[in-house]
Amino acid sequence: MDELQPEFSEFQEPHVYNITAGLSFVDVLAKEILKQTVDNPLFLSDYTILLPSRRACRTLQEAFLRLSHGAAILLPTMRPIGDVDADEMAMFLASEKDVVENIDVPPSISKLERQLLLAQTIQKAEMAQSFDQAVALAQELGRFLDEVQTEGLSFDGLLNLVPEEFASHWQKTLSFLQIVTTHWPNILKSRGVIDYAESRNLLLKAQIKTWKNHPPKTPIIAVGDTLTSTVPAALELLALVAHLPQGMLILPGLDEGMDEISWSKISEDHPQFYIKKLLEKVGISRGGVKSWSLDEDKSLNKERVRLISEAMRPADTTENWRNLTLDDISEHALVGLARVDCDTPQEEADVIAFIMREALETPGKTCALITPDRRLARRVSLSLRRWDIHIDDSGGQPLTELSVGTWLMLVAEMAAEELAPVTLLSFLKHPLMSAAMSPHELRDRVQFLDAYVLRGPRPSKGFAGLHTAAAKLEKKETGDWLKYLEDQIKEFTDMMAKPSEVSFRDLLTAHIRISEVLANTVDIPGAARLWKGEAGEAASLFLGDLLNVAEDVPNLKPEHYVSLIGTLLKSQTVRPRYGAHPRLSILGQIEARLYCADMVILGGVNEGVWPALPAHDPWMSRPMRKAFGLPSPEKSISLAAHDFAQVSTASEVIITRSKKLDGTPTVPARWLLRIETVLKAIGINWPDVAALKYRSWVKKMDMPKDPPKPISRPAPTPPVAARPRKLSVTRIEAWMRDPYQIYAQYVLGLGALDPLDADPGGAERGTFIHAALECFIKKYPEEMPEDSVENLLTFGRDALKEMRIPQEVEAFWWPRFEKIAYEFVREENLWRLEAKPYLTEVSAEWQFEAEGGPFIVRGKADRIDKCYDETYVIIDYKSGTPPTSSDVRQGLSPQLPLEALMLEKGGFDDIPSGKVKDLFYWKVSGSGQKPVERKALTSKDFPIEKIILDVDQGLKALVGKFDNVETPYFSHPRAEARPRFSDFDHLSRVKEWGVASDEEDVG
Amino acid sequence: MTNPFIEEHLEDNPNLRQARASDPERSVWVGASAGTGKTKVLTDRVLRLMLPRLGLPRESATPSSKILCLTFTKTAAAEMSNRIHERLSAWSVKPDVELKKELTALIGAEPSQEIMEEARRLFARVLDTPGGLKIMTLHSFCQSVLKRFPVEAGLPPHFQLIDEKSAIEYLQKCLHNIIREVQEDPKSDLARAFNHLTLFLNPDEMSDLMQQIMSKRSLLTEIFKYQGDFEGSAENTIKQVYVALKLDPKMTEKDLFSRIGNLTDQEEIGLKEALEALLKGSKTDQKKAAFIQPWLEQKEDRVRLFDFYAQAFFTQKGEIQKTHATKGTVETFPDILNVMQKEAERLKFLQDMRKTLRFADLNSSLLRIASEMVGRYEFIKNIDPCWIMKILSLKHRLFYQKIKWCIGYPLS
Repeated sequence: MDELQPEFSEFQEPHVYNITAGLSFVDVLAKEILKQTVDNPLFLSDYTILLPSRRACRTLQEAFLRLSHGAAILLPTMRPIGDVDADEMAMFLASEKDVVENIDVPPSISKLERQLLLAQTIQKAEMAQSFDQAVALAQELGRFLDEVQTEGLSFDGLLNLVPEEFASHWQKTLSFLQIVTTHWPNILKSRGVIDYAESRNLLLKAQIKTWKNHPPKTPIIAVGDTLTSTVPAALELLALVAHLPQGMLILPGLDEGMDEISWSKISEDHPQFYIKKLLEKVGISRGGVKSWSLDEDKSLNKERVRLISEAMRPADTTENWRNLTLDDISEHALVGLARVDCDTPQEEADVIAFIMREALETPGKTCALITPDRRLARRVSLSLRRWDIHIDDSGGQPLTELSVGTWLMLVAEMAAEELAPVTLLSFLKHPLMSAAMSPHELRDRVQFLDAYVLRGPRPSKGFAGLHTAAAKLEKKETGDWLKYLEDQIKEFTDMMAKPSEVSFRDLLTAHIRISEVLANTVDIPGAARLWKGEAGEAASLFLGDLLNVAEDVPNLKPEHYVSLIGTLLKSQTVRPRYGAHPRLSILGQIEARLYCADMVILGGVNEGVWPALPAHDPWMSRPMRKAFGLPSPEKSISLAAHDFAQVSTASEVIITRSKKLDGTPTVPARWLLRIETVLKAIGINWPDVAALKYRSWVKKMDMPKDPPKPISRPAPTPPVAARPRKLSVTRIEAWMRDPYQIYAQYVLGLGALDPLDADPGGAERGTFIHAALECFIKKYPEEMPEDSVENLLTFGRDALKEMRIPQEVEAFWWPRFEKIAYEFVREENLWRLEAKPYLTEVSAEWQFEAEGGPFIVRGKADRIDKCYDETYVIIDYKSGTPPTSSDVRQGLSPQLPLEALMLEKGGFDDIPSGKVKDLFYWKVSGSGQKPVERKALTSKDFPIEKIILDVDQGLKALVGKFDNVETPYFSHPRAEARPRFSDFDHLSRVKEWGVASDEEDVG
Repeated sequence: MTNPFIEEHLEDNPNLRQARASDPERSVWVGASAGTGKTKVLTDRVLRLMLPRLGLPRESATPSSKILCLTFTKTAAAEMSNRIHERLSAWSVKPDVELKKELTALIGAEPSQEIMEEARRLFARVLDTPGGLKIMTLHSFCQSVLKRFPVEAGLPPHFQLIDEKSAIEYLQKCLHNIIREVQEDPKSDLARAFNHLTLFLNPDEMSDLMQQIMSKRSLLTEIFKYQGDFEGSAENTIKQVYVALKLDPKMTEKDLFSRIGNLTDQEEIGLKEALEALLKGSKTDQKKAAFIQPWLEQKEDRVRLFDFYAQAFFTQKGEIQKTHATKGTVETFPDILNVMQKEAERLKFLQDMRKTLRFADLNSSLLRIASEMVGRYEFIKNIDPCWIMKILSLKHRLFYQKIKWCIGYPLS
């Protein structure tokens, strides 16, 4: 590279200019160019300006338009040379008026194609476990390729990079890197393409050669941006421009005030590092750099520029800080520089939103939030909606975060999970879902599906499962609608359910087609909805590219498709081209370069965010990179530091940060700490006026007008006419323990929905055991067969099948059921000596007169047996823990006593009223010392007569009490009788008023 | 010569003791209660490391990039960083006199001009540390090593840490795999072990237990390996459980009880006589007789009746009863105490054996499932497309042995 330098002398002294930090770069640049061409505005179009990026070109264009006050002018030619794609570069050269050199640069391979080809190679070499993993590794390899090629290095250096003793470890990485060192060049050659970085280098070199041999006769202005300077070939081009007869190199924010010793000690992470490198390349000292504009700009805060420069001082000379005085930097540096330290990122976002909203109060004022933290950007954007202000984050978002991206992903996931309830609903409720139905019609269908078909245990896989679950409801429309849906997406879901490998192209094609079809509305085709807007366009472009190279993806198992497409979509960032707001904007660092606003907010100024920690290099350590010739990871810090220095010198700046992130304390950004320390040295206090103001606003905003008052225990007293007159025996227990449940259920008519995809739990297990026992008893009321246990087990199997219990759950229930079966048969045999089954699952209803009119109790007994003395025994199976006898005595568990009462009163269907001898709980849990246990409720001091009498009186008293309109339906009236389950505790807000000890008796 | 360890303990000036603990030339272990200045000692030590050593050139200072500080919590790490920054920021701008005083207190001697100058530069130097000053949690350290060496660790670059929810999902996946296998081959050892556990656990409890197992899976893997069990097997380890409990791994509960009813004629007669006596005795005695009678009469059913029978001899807590018969009964049949006590001891032995056997059986089932789970978890984790993995110390430790060289190279 150095061989070029002497040749520069062919040309004249270099022309290098500086635009001081603190000035609006593009405005000053444009103003001066306009001034140079003021006599003949037509000259303006002779100018060629080399800028780092397309965005920078646009920013400069806007500046020209601003300065010409909308008058039509012929703009200079503007060329991005930094981070641009090769096509653009080629065009740039081809359109050059004076190009005579023959440039022969092969086409470059697209990033996507390269990633997929590399991934394929990785998989072939068995270096990754699956293709989607290979894709991620390929991305990392591609980055490595780019770096090596940008620096113009050869892979030969890799072999001897590592000292002997570590060589064997290095071999492993080396053999992996063979993919790029050995295989990759061959792949490229066979396709006749080259890498992007390579092509950029070739093009830049060709440009250098052209201009060197045929110096252009028109003015060439190059912006010596830091990012451009990190590309060696571009650096060379910039240096050349400085030496061209009509060339001018403009530096953004060269620090002219820094002392020479410090300048000589600048390290790789210093904001001036790349500018210094550029000057060295040009062969000019700082003294030789002229100021681009001689106009005095009153808005420039020179003290601030000095403060920031001082703060950025290289570590080696920082011992000089302590000698700083107010003569070096005056308090004026802090005019227009505020900082707000917030407690949480949310507070920070609210503060920023307030500042931006406040800026709108000044007519014409512009304000920009600049932050590398996209989460913060999103929060601010949401917080501003409070005032109906809509700003897009120009920092960009991955496609997977945007509507079209989430839609594509949900379509894939829904199919991959074979219509599992949660993904299915997310998919059906996505705003892009339409399925050619009117929105309200679709919503009705989906809500019905949500409430009645998908709740509770998961239906079995695929449409078959949904059809079975829906069939139970006997609602034809639902079945028809599911069929309609199935017809539309079957093609894709069937393919995704295949266990074998499938062509990626087929999957992708079906995926896209289904995504479009389902987005069809009654009158707009889905494709038109999906691919519109910036995100839509980006998605469509990307998927188009992907289809073009889909052949490079090997066949894969459908289960890997979702993560593969997810990885690929995630790597696509969509940046809105134009902000939605004329005066406010949210920018990332790159977008903010060369940008200007009247007021700048620097958000998320914490270590790890600004600057971000350099990414881990999976291939080489720091010293290895250095030895190999790659730039150190501190490169990114230097760039970030320069960005920070540029924007923090603007006339009005507010720095914000959050003291905690995800509950962990944060460390302020290094530059902020440096500024603090410099201020400390001078003895200036940073006023906290702004912090106090905005933070108190945020606090006030969320403060309710009156302080919140906790509610007291609810005591609803609905009119007697609205109170239930008919309850089941189990509800009567709830009524006693927690009247509020009865109120919510019967007066308000509420009921809890089952969770989606619920695991079958205790209730279902109970149903299963009951069903098996019932079948058995029903079949053998007289004699028990020899193989009773086997018989019972068969009934159990049938019940499980009937209930569609998933294997995973059955595995837990079955061993215990086997135990139950064995023990139950033994117990039943003994019991048959005393009584014989009479009826099972038998319903009862009994009505009696009460103050508020007739009241009906109903219930269902698991089993009623008849003893040989013609008396009855009522049996209730409990698959969990039966109620304690003390609860029964106290009347808190009245189920069986109520059934006894009803039997004696003749309330049971098909059973003439008769005498009850005893009541039994049969524990059939299958666990513990006694897996099956028969427990009688009567005892000598608590005979059946007393049980029935007690419950009769108790029931009537209870009904009578609630027939008094003044009796409220309290929630948890007695702490010791609290129910085990309640669906309504959140509704009665127990946690708000029910301090444990406070929960005294009230009724 | 005095023992330096003792000497330090005798030292009661806390400042001196702290100074000694922060001396970078010594390896120290500091244990102290909260709020007594552990973080200060650690901070002091880091600061002293970064200063040139007394009487040595500037280069004797340890570069900040070569210091690794590990903490247990992110909060502690941030706290440490902030404290160091605060101290150093103050140093860089303090008047000479004050700085000298502070440095003297820190290093225990008057600092040279060079040390003073370096101390002032340290603030900016620490901020500029390549890759940042490494004050991190154990977890983030392990993670950074793995991220630096993904090829060696067999991980995708930029892998993500598993979150709690996905971890449970993985676990569930493994469990479901096991269940599927259990149902395919209900006679296998795995199925037996699984069904054994389900008698004690419902699905939620099983899931909890598996989570506990997984959180200890590094330890478990080491145990399995140590016993010579590899890749999802647990045979040797299980054998060791029986050996440790002095049991024959082949013995079943049935074997143990097979001879339970085999009494000598003499014993049989003795017990029958005792029964006769008890039947005629007090109410308590009659109750006992009720437990004994079926056992004596239904010879073929003795194994099943064991627990019922044992109630005649044991208290609720399972200990041998103090009185086997009431006074009157003892008078009618004096040998009853002897007969009953002997039988009680025999039963007690069997009961204890059974307890041990059940304990061993349960453990063996648990180990078998655990070994399956550990193996499958690793496997599923590897084929899972999301490449989420949880860093556990073992994974890292084993891996670290492979890449000792990273000590020679700064990590990032």
